[in-house]
Amino acid sequence: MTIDELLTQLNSLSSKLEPIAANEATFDLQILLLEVQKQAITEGFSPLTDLDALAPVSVGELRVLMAQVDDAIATEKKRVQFVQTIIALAKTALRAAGVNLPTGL
Amino acid sequence: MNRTLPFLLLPAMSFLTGCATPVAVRNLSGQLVTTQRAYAISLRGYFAAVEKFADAQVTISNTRIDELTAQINRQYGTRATASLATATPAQRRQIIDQLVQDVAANANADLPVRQKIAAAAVTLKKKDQELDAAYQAIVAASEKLDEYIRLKKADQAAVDSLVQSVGMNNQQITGIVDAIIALTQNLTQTFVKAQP
Repeated sequence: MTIDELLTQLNSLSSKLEPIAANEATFDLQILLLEVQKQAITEGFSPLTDLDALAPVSVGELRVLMAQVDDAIATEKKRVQFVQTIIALAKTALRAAGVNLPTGL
Repeated sequence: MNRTLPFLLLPAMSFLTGCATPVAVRNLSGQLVTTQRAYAISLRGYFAAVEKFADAQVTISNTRIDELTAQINRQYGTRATASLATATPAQRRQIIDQLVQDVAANANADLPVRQKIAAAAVTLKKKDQELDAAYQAIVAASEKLDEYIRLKKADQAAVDSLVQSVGMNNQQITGIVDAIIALTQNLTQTFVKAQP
């Protein structure tokens, strides 16, 4: 039985009892009914507390690997600079040696 | 011959080194980053809307709990009034003390209920922040990969330098490489056919 179904039945029972006698048992039932309604409201938020059970997304490894890619980028930039220097040097050396390089080279 | 040699060598170098990242890969990488950035914005908007909804639910619930508490107090009051009508002076004191005690207990009982509701909303927001932070890290990782993919590699720089010098572009190189491949295939087929 769900809380909503329970509430409906309790309300129905309370309505039946009220005209018969306003005794201590009826009073207790009324209080119980109101308390159940409070609990029903609170329980409506329970699914949110279950979020704590969800495993956190681990991104630590991503950060480590990103740092490694940073290093790779820096290394590659240095390599490009080095290759460009070598090519420029080779062109100068070839020209100095009297080699006719194609136009623009 | 001197002019044709670089035209044949350069495409071959470019083809064989294969270092230049294909345009399709760069495009996909760039689009992936763009999409992930847009998704991150949508995700934040979604979290904000859900959190506002949760805050509204907390307010509504607290109001309803106040109403229920007041109803319970009225019940206690009704019972006490009924009892007072036939009570002795000593009993009256006892009934009033009991009423004060019941009302106080009723109010105190609300505190953990309100705390539980508030804690649930906090849990939601905390989880949203955690997911947002994780997704930002994922976007940052994609951006880093994209940066590397778009980076001019050393071999590519060498080939580019030579290609630029002889006034060719990548499209021309691709065309020439395709022509060389087609020629090679034709020659292979010719040799196969020529075999006895």
